[in-house]
Amino acid sequence: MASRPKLSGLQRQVLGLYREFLRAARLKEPEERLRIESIVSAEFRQNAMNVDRKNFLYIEYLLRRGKKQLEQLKSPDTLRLSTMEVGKTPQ
Amino acid sequence: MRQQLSIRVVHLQCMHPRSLLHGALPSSLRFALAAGLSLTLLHLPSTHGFSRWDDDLDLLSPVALAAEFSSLKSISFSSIRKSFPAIQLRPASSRLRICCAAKSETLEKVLKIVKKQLAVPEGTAVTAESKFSELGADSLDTVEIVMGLEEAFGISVEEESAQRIVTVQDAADLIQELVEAKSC
Repeated sequence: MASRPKLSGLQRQVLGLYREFLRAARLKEPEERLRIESIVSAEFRQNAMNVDRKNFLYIEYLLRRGKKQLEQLKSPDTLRLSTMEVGKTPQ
Repeated sequence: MRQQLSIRVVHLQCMHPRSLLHGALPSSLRFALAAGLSLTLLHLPSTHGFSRWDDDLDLLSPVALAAEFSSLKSISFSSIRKSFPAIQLRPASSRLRICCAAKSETLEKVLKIVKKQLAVPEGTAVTAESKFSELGADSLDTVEIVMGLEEAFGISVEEESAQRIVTVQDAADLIQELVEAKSC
């Protein structure tokens, strides 16, 4: 198989976290699952777009935060995930 | 030019297994002529000593043969054709794949999932040879596709093997492998 560009350790960690999130989402109700998936996907994509790839400290912070959130999501007591936008002034 | 030549020699040797080529070089070269190899190259072995080929063939690697050719400065390769259809082999990978090729139904299923997951616009051809990156997938999309495939086939893909997937065919082969491993 042809190799695709080698991923850095940090990139692999991020992709691994994404996988774990999608796995965790499978355990929830189908309706909630779709919602969780779209929220998680939006979050990852937004950060992929906006965070400078050399900003390792911030990426590591996001990873740690993501892992914590993943732990919470994995718990069977967690039923759904929701987001709210704070402090965004309408333009 | 030297590289081009070495490729030709490799082809020649691949086309004719050692047993066939050994002691039977003239006929294989006649074949080469028929295939469009230049006359200059055909004459080369006789000027260079045919017997050496017969005797030392086992010892000569394709690269060494190419080096021998290119050491003769008087030879012109200008008429070597760019394509060499009669002798050209298929890429080795596609021949190797035969033994572990994914069944067409698996491939179909994979293609369907990929199309759905990436929301490929109608009319865009997605084939087994399509690369995910060409279809506009980033690494996050690839993760999503692999997860989708895992669920559809009821398997679990290791992270390392998931990262080696480049084309749709790669994905289908991997899944075939895992499905078979699961069933036995």
